[in-house]
Amino acid sequence: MRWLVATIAETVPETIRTVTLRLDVPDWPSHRAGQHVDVRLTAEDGYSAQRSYSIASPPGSERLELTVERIDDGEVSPYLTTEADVGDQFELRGPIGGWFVWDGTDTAPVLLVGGGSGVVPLRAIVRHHAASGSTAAMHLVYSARTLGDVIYRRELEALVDPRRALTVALTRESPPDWAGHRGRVDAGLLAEVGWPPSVQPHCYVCGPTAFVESVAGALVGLGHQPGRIRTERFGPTGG
Amino acid sequence: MGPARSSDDVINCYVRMFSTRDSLRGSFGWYWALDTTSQNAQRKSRRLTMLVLAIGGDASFGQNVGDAVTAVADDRPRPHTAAAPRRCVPTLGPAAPPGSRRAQAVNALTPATGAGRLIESTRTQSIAVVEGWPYVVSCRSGEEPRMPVVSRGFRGRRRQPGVGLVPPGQYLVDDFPVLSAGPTPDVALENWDLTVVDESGAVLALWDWGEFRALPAEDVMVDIHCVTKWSKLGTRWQGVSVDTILGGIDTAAEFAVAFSDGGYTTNLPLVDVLDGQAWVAYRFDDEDLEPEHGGPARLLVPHLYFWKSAKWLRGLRLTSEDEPGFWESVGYHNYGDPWREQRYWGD
Repeated sequence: MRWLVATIAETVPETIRTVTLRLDVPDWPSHRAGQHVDVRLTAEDGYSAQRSYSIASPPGSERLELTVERIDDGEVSPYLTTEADVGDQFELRGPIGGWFVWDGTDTAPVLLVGGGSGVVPLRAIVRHHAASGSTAAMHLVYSARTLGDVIYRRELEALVDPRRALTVALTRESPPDWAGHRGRVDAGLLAEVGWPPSVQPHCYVCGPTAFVESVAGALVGLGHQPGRIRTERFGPTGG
Repeated sequence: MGPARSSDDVINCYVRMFSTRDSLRGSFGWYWALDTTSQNAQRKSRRLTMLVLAIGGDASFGQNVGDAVTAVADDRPRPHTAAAPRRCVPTLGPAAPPGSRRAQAVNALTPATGAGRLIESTRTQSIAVVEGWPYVVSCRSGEEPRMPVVSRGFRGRRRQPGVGLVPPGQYLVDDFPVLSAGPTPDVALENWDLTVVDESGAVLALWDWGEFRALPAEDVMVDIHCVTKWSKLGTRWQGVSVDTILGGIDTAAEFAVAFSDGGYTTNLPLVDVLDGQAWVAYRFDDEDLEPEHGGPARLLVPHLYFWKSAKWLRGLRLTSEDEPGFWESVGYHNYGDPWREQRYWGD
C-alpha cells in the first residue's frame, strides 16, 4: 500500500486534548466509514515513527479528517496536536481495515458505543448515516469523563433526529443541569437505551481496552450475538 | 575472480546509511545491533534462514541496490554466510522475462555487482545472490523512490532503548496491549478441547484440557510484533510446541488454518508452524494466560505479526490450498512478515 503526502489544510481544536486535522491528500482513494490510516512522521535526520489513527470524516467528504488525542508521554500525538500547523506535511497510507466498517447498505439497527477518543470512527459512521440518508435506526452511546472532554458535541447534537439518537454518559463530573447519563456505560444503560437483541442490531464498540472489554461483555450478557459485535481498541500506549 | 571492492565513496555512503538505524528496513538492523556470537545464537533460536539486507528510500532501486550488496559482501561476509538458505529456494522465481521490469533491473545491476547478481526484483523486494548466498533486498511497502517528506519540527522519541531490535515501523512497549475484533469469549475449561482436523472436517487428533496440559511443555522467550505498531521484547510463555500437536499426524497439507472460539481464523503455511517456530501457549509471565490475551490457550507464532497468533485457539485445520483467514480477508497481508513490513494487501 502506497504512502501518500498529506498537507494540513486546517486544524480544529475539539477539546483541551484533541485536535481535528483537515488534510489535503492528493490521490486519496476514498474510504469506508470506520476505517483508519497509518501516519508516518519523518524528522529532518531521517528518523521516522508510525502510528494508526481512525478516520473522522465520512466517505466522500471534501477533506480527509483525523482527530488525534494527545497522549502526554506519546511520541507522535504531542506533535500532531500541539506542533503541527497549517501547511505542514506528513505521510499516510490507507484506508485500512475492512471489519470495523459500516456501509449503510443494510437497514438493521446500529448501536455505536464509544469511550473517549473511541468516538472518532463512530463519528464517521454517524456522518455517513446522515449524508447517505440511510433508513437504518442508529444510536450512539458516548462515554466521556467530563462535558469538556466530549468531542464533536455540537455536531453530534445537531445530527440527532428520529433515526439518529445520542446518549452521552459523563463518568467523572457533570453539570448540575446535565440531562444526559451520569456514570459508566454499563449493562443497565445499554439495556435501557440500546436495541434489544431480538432486533439483531449491528454493534460497534470502540475505546480503550478496559472500556471495550466491559461494554462488549455487557452486550453479550444482554443476549447480543458475539458475531454482531465489532470492536476496535485503543491501547494506552497509542502515543 | 573475486568481487571488486566498492569505492570508498560507496562504502561511506552505506556506512552513513546503515548508521541511521531508522533508515534500515528489515532484519538487517536487528543483525547490526548484535555482535557475531549473539547473531549466531539469535539466528539459531529464531531459525532465521534468509538474509535480509534492507535499504530504504532511493537506495532500494537501480544501481544502488547492487552497490549495497557489493559493499556488504566486501565488508561483512562472516556473520552472513553462516545462514542456511533453506527458505529461499521457493522464493527464487524463474528467470525474468526479457524486457520486463525485473529483467531491466537485472541488466542494470549485473555489471555493478561483480560477484553479486540480482535474480528477482519486484516493486516490493529484490533478491540478490552474493557469493552463492541469497539476500532479500527490500524497500518498504513498494513505494516508488522519492525524497522523504519531512514533518517540520518533528523530533520523536528516537533513542528508545532496544529500538534497533524491532522491525521497521514498530515501537517498543512495556505493557501488553489488547487487540481483537469482537468480544472476549468465555469458555469453561471442561468444555474446552483442541482438535486437529483435515479439509473434510474429520478429526485427526483431539485433546481435552487435562490431556492437553499433560503434553510436554516448553518455556519460550520471544519478541512479539503487532501490526498496530507495538513490539514487545523478551516475552515469556509456556506452551506445547506445534511439532508436538502435529507429531502423530501424517498429512500432505501445506497450510494450516487456526480456528478459535468466537469464530476467528488465521492462515499459515505449515512450514511456519513446524520446526520449533510455533506453540499453543497457556501461560504468560508465569501466570495462566488471561482471557483478554487469548486464554485459556492461544497460538504463538512470534516470527509473524501477532494477529497470526490466534487467541482462544480451539484447533488447526490442515488444508492443501491457502485459505485467507479473518484479517487476511479484510485487507491484511496474507503472510505477515514484520521484518518485511507485510502489513496490508500489496505490501
